Amino acid sequence: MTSRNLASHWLDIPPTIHGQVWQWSQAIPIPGHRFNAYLNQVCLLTVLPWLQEQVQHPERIGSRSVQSQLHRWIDGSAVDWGESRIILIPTEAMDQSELRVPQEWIDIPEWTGDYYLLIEVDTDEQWLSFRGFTTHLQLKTCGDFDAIDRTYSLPQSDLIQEMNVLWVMQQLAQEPTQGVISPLPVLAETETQHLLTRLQNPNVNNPRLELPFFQWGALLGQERSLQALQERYELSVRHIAGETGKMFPTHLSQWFQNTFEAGWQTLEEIFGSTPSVAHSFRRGHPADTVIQRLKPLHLGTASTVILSVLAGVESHPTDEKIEVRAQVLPWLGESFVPSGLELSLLSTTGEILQAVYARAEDNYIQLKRFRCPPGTQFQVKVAIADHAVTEDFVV
Amino acid sequence: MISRKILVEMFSTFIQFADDRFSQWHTDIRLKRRMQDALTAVTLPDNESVNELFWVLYWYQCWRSQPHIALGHLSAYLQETCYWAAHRTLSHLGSGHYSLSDRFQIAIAELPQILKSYKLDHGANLKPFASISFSNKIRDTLRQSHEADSRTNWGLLRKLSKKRLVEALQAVGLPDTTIAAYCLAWTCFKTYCAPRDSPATRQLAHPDPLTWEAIAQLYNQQRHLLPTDATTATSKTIEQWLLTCATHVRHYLYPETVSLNLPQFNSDSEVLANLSDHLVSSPLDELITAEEVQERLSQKRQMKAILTATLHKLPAETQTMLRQYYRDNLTQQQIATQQNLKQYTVSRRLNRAKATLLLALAEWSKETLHIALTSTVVDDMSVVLEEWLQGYLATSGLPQVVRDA
Repeated sequence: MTSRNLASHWLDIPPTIHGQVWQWSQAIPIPGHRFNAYLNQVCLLTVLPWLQEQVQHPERIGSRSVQSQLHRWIDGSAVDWGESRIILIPTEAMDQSELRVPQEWIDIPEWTGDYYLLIEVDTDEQWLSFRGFTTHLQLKTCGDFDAIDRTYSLPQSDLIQEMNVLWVMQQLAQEPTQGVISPLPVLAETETQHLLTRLQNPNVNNPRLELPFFQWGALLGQERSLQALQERYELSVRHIAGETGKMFPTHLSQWFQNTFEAGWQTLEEIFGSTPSVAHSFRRGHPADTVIQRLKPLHLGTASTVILSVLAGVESHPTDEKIEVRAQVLPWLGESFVPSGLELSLLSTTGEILQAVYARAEDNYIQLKRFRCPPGTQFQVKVAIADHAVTEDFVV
Repeated sequence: MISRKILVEMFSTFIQFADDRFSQWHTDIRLKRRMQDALTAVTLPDNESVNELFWVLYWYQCWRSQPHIALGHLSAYLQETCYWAAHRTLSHLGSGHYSLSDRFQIAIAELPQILKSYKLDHGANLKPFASISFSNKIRDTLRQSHEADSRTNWGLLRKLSKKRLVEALQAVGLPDTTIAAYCLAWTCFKTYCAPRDSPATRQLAHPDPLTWEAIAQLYNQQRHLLPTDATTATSKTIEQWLLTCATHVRHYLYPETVSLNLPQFNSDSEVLANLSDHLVSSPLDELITAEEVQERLSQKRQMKAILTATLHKLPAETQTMLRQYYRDNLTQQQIATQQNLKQYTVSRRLNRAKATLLLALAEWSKETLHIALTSTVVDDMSVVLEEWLQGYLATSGLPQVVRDA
């Protein structure tokens, strides 16, 4: 494409990210909602590694997963980037004539960002491109508020189109980026419940326009009601990947013959070519044969995590036992395993043999490794709140 | 094309096309007279660059208070810049639909918008700024009409911003209430009509009757959000509305029905002539002084010195890459092949080098000029940087006008 201008930044969407997200999004019933979720998630996951490249402290970059289930209604993802918070706003529009930001990202104090990036996602050609950025201050003071769809918008001519400016600003003393917003009310527990019930009505097609903004915003601003909201929407969603485990146990010894059950993927297939160190197990003896496969598990609510299983045989085995290690990793682009997530090892009778729980800000959790002879059956269960996925294994 | 050198001509003549090529410079008599009058009213040092910059700033300042008068002069001034921007897009996707003069007209029509975005406070010259904007405008127009050609109505409707949809509907004179109803219908359409088997939307199929029912139901649920009472709409009505939207949008994106050979500023000359006396009688000093111009030039020289010094501190291979891109006019792909790198590596290195140069410029401005650095200010400086990259690094291979910019 010769028209690619140096001033704009283009990124190809990695096929692995497209594949993962497309599959993940299929569980959402309404086509437009499903596609919105796809756009937002593809945008976030493609942009994250690139943002990491641009800064000196990539470990200070993290996305917040809370919004992933709300993407069908609310465009945008938040990324903490050094000292600033960036809101990525994807758009299908080819004309790039405006940045249109849902009111949630502007008027909910817990949601506001410093910089808002307009990103065009071309789903036909599978690339995305940066079309400019602005600040919360600009959007709040100069943006046009549209009361019908509750959005703030700025024409493209008011955006800063040179992305290098964002990198430079990161290295200078911080500029004022935040506009003044009014606080939202704190909702009493009874009111919260009442509003949640109202939104649960199946006739409510678009919850973000159902309540007056101060109530809707207050619900989203409170961690607990936000969680509750996401869980309720999740109830209508089928779980694809998780349910297959029961019927089709995974045969670990066959992995050494290069036979893998559907759903298990390599590290590279899931994370692309540059998996972070945290995602690889520490290897044992270098001559050992070890095979690692991963599988995304959908756990209702906001949570998708990745179960990683490693099966190993020693180079000079004294017995036929296979060593097994199991880990849960955060979903692509997320930094932490959801707090409170349980990973447990169960016998076929359901007896818990081992269990670990994720604390706040755990990058991964793992079971103590164990060894077992061929033919052994066991289950690995991953659970959070009301949602659990169990995977059956035969060694 | 012969570039103009005489000051009066630079601000009062226009390109005439013949057989889609530059034919000659056409003088607008009234603009010429006004420019001559203005020239006799000031005494400037005998220095070409001071003179040119003075009059650019003069007409730009004048444009802020009297846009109708100054626009013609600034348009005349930017003729070469626009011509070369149109010329550069010759090989672009979708350019087959538009002649060189069409592309020229598309770009020059954007001038009022460009002037609105241009800020002269932080050293950026008008020509390089306009050059970037002209190119972007042409490129975007070409791409959009190419997309409009290759998309179904439904695929096209998904590929629009709300702003563009509203503009297309306003352009055919629809009342605001109708536009609001159409926009709501469009949002409902996007909720139910999305790709199913793959994320591609170009060939998005005509929604089936059930989908239209769902769209209509959602519209009727949400029509209470509209500013004026809207009646219930059937699925047939909604379908008709969206087809209407698609038709208007197609025309708007692909302006084949609008004559692009719009007369240039001469047609307004009667009005301009009447106003010109008033203009010239206003004291020139209020708009701009020769001292200010001198100061800007000297500031620009310092900026260039900072950039040159920073450039020399960059790794040798990065310097080479910048020269290949800006001086030798190689594409990123050509540089990548030559240096045995991936294209994205080239793109990233170039961008990183530009960020380093921009940071140096910003820090210098902060310390020397005591400017509070906001992203808008740094953005203005990025135009100075681009101007310098194209001017300083380019000693051959770029059109004259870009080099002079």
